[in-house]
Amino acid sequence: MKDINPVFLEIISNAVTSIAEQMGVILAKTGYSTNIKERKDLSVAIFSPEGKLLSLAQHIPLHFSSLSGAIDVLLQKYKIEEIYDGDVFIANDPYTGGGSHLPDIVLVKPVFYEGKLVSFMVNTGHHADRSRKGTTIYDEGLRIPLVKLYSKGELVSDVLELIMLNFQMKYERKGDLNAQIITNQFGAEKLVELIDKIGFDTYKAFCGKWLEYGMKKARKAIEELPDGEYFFEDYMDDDGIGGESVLIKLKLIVSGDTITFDFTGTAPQNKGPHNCVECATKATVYYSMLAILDHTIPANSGFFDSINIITEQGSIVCASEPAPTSDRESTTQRIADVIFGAFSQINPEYVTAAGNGAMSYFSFSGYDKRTDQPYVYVETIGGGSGARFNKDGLDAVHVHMTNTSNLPVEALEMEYPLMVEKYALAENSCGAGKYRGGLGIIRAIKITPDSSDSMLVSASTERSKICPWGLCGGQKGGRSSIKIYRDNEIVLDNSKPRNVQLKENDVIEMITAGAGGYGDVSLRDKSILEKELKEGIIDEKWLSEAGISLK
Amino acid sequence: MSERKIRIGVDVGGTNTDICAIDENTGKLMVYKLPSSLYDQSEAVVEGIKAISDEYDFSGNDVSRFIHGTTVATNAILEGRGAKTALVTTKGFRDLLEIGRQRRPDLYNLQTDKPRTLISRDLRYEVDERTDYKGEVLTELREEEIECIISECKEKGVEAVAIMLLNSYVNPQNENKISEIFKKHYPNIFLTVSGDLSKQFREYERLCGTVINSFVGPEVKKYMNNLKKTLEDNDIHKIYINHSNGGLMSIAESVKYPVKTALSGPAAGVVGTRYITELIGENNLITVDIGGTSTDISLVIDGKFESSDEKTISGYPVRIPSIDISTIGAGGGSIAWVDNGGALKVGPQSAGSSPGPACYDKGGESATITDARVVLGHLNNETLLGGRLPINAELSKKAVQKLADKLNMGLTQTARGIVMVSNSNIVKEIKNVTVSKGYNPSELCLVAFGGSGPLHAAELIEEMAINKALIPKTPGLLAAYGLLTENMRRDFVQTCVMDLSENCEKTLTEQMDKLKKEAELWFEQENISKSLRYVNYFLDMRYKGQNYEIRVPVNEEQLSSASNLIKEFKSSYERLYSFSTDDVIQIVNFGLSATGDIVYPVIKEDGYAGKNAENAVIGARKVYDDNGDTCDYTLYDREKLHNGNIIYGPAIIEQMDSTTIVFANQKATVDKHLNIMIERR
Repeated sequence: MKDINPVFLEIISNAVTSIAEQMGVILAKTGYSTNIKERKDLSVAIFSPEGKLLSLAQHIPLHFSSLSGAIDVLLQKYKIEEIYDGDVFIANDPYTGGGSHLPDIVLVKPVFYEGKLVSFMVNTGHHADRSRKGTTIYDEGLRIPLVKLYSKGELVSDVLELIMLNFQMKYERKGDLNAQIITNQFGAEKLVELIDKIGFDTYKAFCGKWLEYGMKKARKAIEELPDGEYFFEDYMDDDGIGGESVLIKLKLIVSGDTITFDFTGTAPQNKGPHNCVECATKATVYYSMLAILDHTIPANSGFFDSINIITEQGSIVCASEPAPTSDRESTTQRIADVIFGAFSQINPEYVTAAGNGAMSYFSFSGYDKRTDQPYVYVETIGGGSGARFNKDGLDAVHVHMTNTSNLPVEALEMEYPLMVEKYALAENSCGAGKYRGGLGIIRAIKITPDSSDSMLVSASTERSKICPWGLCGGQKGGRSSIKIYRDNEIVLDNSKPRNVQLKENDVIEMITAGAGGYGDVSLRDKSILEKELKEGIIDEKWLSEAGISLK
Repeated sequence: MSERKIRIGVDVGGTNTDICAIDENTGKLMVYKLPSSLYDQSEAVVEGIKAISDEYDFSGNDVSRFIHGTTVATNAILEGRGAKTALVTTKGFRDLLEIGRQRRPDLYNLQTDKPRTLISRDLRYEVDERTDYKGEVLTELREEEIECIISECKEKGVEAVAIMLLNSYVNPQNENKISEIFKKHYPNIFLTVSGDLSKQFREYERLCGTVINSFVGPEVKKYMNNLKKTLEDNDIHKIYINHSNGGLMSIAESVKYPVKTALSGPAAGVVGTRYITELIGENNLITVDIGGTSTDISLVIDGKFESSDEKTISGYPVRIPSIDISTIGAGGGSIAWVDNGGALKVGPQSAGSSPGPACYDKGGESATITDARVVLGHLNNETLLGGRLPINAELSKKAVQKLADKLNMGLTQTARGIVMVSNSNIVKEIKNVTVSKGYNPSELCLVAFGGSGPLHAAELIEEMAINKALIPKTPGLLAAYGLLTENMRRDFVQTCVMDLSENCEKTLTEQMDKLKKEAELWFEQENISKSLRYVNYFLDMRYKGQNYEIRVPVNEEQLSSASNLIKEFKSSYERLYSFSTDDVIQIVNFGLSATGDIVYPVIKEDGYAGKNAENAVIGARKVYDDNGDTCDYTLYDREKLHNGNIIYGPAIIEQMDSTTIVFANQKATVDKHLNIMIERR
């Protein structure tokens, strides 16, 4: 057995990461749906046989959760000797399958080498089928506990049949599932090739050393923080169904090389779609640690295990059955805001001011008269990113827990009976400061005559009431809104419309939130403000509200 | 005396300007290298031509073709320095340039910024017009609106304009109207119309290409016009410019579409590689070009390099056909370091050429790959570059020892580690490139060039179980050499999304005929004689519902039958993803690449000199292996190697611009073009 010196550590981790990266490329390329292919709403991971995450190729930090959740359930549910070569497991349920919401379907393939279980290949993709909402998880669609889709290489066709029956876009679902299976198969073959080359003992020794490395880097970063307790809290606009605002509360405890995130006191779960199961909250903490402390820490279990997280069962950050979870991503965005806020008490230079803080989306479903086929189209919309201690925030991007691409307007108009009327920066939405927050986005979509009258739209955004906060004297960012126009009249103004029936030529418009500023606006370079005024990014009203005069 | 015909290729790089010239009658090859001129690239170009023509005694009148690879446009983009540019676009979309695909550039690093927006917002004009996805004009353009914009542009001193309207790829009517109005009222402005540059859908990418073209347009125009004048003053008239897709264009076209040169830097090396391998019958290659700071990796399959429209420069997608080359930060100057978790990392930071590796004794104290190789004995420990660059091996040892102390490892073990980690970075990228495209690296031939490529070749083929590696005759000058072998080329692509079925065969032919007509026009315009015109067809296809196309080369015969096309698509798809289905297939883009052959001159072949390479032996050197033991490597002078010579490793072959390693289990054979083929035994 080779000693895993710093050279082998780097070389073998490079090889394992390379496998995960190639799997990510294959899943995006073989997937069928726009959501997986173009928006890359997917992640892949490689786990050790003990269920420790070794390597992750991901585009969406939130997927930290569904991947490790499924493995945890698998190892609780099955004994090692009940897992066979050729098995493939499938799951999506937040309460019995390790998932975080039902559209993310996870596939797991155990990998064997000379008869021994050596790894699990796992991937997840967001299956954007008909969106279902309700006040319990039972209303949100098909729940798949962790079950075998293949047993010893044989397809369990009853399971597949049962799953497929529940989908509207069967053609897409079949293609996406197929792509997920191929991706894991590919990864398994590559890992076996690698073990062949370096030897099983070296591989095993590497796994231990690699997790140790992740933990070491995390502990180093934590050690540099001053010991103490730091508090922060923030609210979500509402529970997603017209109710009260929702409190998220954090006590951050740093002591030596340990760190604890204590969410005690956070609001209880509710009947809206924003509930997070614990693994979604964990994913948010992991993301924040990477972004705030050291983005070069490898995303592996060694790193994860060095963090303590305390949540109250039944709270919105650790929901219990039967709380619905379909829009849990909105909450994770606010959890990230709260974590950033707590770290700002340690040192505001570690973080950014609050960004748009939402997972804003449109979801259209109906029949396309041109093809006489049903369609479902979901898109997400970015917004402002918070100002930094040394520069402005980014305009019009996804923040924190998501980073999916948009679908090109020209592709969208070709494929769906929709037309984009406006896609622009939301002027004046930036929070004032020495450095300003990023701008939100305005997106307006018109229903064309090719759409059937039965078309339905749902949409959601956050920070329509409680604005993104600034830091160190920086001001708050602009609010979000969703409006529906019919014959140029506003017929709906609500940040979370659900299953609203639209007619041809109706327009739905979303304005996402801007972001908070950093530092006192009086310290901002006047020539930059003049330029922004000239460019129309801000206007006189914005200046006077910010309390600044250019004269 | 017969008329001399000298073909000259000049490749401008960041450090050096390389010149390769060939006498078309005798096949004699001439080379010259000089430092690039920083301020105006053409200074070194002109100086170099003067020097090489003096040295080999020819005049401008003897130059049959002058072929130029330039980075003027590339540098302008990288440095964000360009003309005051305005954009004219569809109402509601002027911010598209900033929104892009609304992704943040780095998932975790909060300090990373998006690429700078090249046009300030008050110069991005919206026009009340709209064309739908079918090409139907829903809102007509009003001429007065454009005239207003023009007078504002004039007032503000705008130097260049980009025009990009939604859905113009299917109907360019409104774009063209705007362009006409501009030409009428503002005739001297530099104008780019998106549909002229690309007829493909996906607006943001088309917009970026259009904007960048206008942004760099005026500067490139000035550069090209100056160069043309200077060359013409020296009696050089036939001038060609290298573009990103491994072909040439006329200087007039380069002035119109400068963005097409933006990614041309590493392209000529790939073309040169393809040429020399074609002569010896190697058609499936991984090309690995390792320089001082970066490594460029590309594939040549069945003698064809892979093209892509999805390359980016400086964070901007440009949607221009380019050779599909992947670049990583790994080169001779890459710095080795230990991270805070105790792992050994190499690069992407590089010591560059100044201060350079520690052994250059120019103040560099970090251990680089070059230093590791000096310690291991791979590199000459007294001088490099044929004696022009003195080396201080003690400084290499000192730098590597510092790292070794941190790692608690031995000196040579650390040096080996540096080399191994750098190779693993390169291997990772090669795997990403090959495996993701459905090829198995072990079935390809590796071609290693650039100053450092030949040092890594033996290691890379062992690491990936590749059977052989080719080291070209002039590894450090391959880009300039490649220019001499390039043809005129232009690609025509049109988006037209349609389901593939028997009853679409007529549309198929019609679409391709349209492209053929465009190509004919181009052939005429470039005066390419009829017998030297070639066209190749390709289709970008996908399964219906997917949004990612694969490029399938097709011939005229296959084009006339849907069932053949389905078969071709499926076999390409299977190669990439190892499966295919019977679902509906869509054609997304129709494509044609037109090439005008520039017949390549006869190459001088080296006479067979027998297997024995002893005449080239110049000594021996101790080299450290993985276990820290030393082994004597026989040293050869590449200048003295001839056709047929065989070298059994362990050996090191030195030449002016490079060093080649051959391991004990490998042998190296010299061919008639003086390339070296390393094979695993």
